[in-house]
Amino acid sequence: MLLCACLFVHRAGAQDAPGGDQPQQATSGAGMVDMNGASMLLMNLASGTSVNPAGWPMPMIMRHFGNWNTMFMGLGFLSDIQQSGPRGGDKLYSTNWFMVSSEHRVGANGAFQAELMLSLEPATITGRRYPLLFQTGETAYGAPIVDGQHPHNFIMALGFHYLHQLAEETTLDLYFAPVGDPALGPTAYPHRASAMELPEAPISHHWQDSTHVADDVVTVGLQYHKVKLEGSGFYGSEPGENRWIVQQGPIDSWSTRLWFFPTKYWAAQVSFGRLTHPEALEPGDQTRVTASAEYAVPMPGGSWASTLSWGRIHSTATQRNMNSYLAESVLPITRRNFLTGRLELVDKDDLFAGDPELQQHLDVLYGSTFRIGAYTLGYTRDIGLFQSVETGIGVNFTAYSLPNAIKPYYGGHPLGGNLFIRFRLRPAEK
Amino acid sequence: MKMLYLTFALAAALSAAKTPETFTGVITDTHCGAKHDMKGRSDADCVKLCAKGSAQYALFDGQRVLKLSDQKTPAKFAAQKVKVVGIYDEKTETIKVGSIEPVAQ
Repeated sequence: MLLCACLFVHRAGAQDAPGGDQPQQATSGAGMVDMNGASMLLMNLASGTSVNPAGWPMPMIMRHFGNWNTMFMGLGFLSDIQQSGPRGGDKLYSTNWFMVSSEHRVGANGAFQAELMLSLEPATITGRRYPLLFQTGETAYGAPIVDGQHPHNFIMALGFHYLHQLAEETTLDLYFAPVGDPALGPTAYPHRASAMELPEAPISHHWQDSTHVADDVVTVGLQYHKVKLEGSGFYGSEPGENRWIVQQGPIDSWSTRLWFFPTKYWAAQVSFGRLTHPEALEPGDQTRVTASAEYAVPMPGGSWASTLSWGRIHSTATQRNMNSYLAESVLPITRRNFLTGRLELVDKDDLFAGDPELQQHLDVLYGSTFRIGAYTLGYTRDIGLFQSVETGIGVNFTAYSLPNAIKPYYGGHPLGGNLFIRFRLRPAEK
Repeated sequence: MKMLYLTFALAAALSAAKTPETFTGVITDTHCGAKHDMKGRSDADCVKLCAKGSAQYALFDGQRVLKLSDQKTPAKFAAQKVKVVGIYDEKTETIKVGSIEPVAQ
């Protein structure tokens, strides 16, 4: 999909890109036309209304079609995962997404943007999951997914933004998305600068940023200078198992998020949400609180991006509070070499959801919640196979810590390894 | 003998060290490069807005867009013709800025 997209972008560029006689290094911005301040702010959006630090150069290819500025973004991994222990699994699979956003100026101070994000994961992740120790959330074949990660929907996002600059430092942001990302949690991991070299999802995903594929999202945001306040309404149920359709439902959940941008290299947020019956097989609702800080600073080889994030969920059915902590970073040692890592601590109460009898037994003996640690270190080397597609080979290893009570089921020291090829759309180097 | 080694070492170090050069051009940003096209805004506003985002202040010398190590001083000279004195690092395509001065147009 990425290669097809790349061919399309190249053709569009060949037809549309102006300034063919411009000096090569001076044409980096030639893909943009007719923009205003509101357009610039729309260009920085990552998922829904969430953002990475403004100073992070988002990998994208930009073209214009008439007065529409169009951005193409894409990231894909072909991965072979191997995990040890009785509940570990092995699989060859691909996580991938492609996104196109098109922006048009509206008057002197407004701008409109439409976005579509597609993923072929329903086809490239067979069996409705890939193995990921201690990962939980959503369902496959009518059973809760445990030790596995679900594929994303074919339509990961379909949304419309209108942004209006009310004054020099004040903007009003309106967002409607049949499929989109409400104002809850940090920037979701597929879009997050610090997660760009990690193919697998964090095991804190359903504690922090899982609402990035939600249905019928409406968001209003108001930014003044370095502070932005947002409120969202959305359909709170997680996506169903048919990943090829757009699900719809009433706007029964809400969230609010406060952003703070101290400099262009920082983006910090706190958010709160009330989700109506998010998990299909679990009774009750959820409240979720998250706080995060993302930092991205330019370096000679690229951008060093890091995230610290906390998420807490409260289940109204079980009255349990569960915390999750995440630290994540990607460091470009040189332009072609990346070191990456992710450290997580997550309280899990659904690791035995597939076996209610065992779950009850453990609950009586040891309690309902188990704190899991996941410690991932990885390395990616760019090999430059294709023009405009940043291709790299990478590997990462994950070690886990777990309470003694569940070691009989996972083994004493479960480990995971992931060997992958990464494809990312990026303008060809001049 | 020691003196000879020292002289050779000093000569080698001096030949390896780059001397500052003078670059003349217009302060731009790494996103727009040579051409700015922001409706209803001056080129200077465009440069400043872009530099608020992922773009960095740079110098367009008529041929190349050269990044600048100093990201504060250029804000005063956005879209203006300037003279930059500094050392150019080809590897990072960045001028390590010594000084930036406006050039009378």
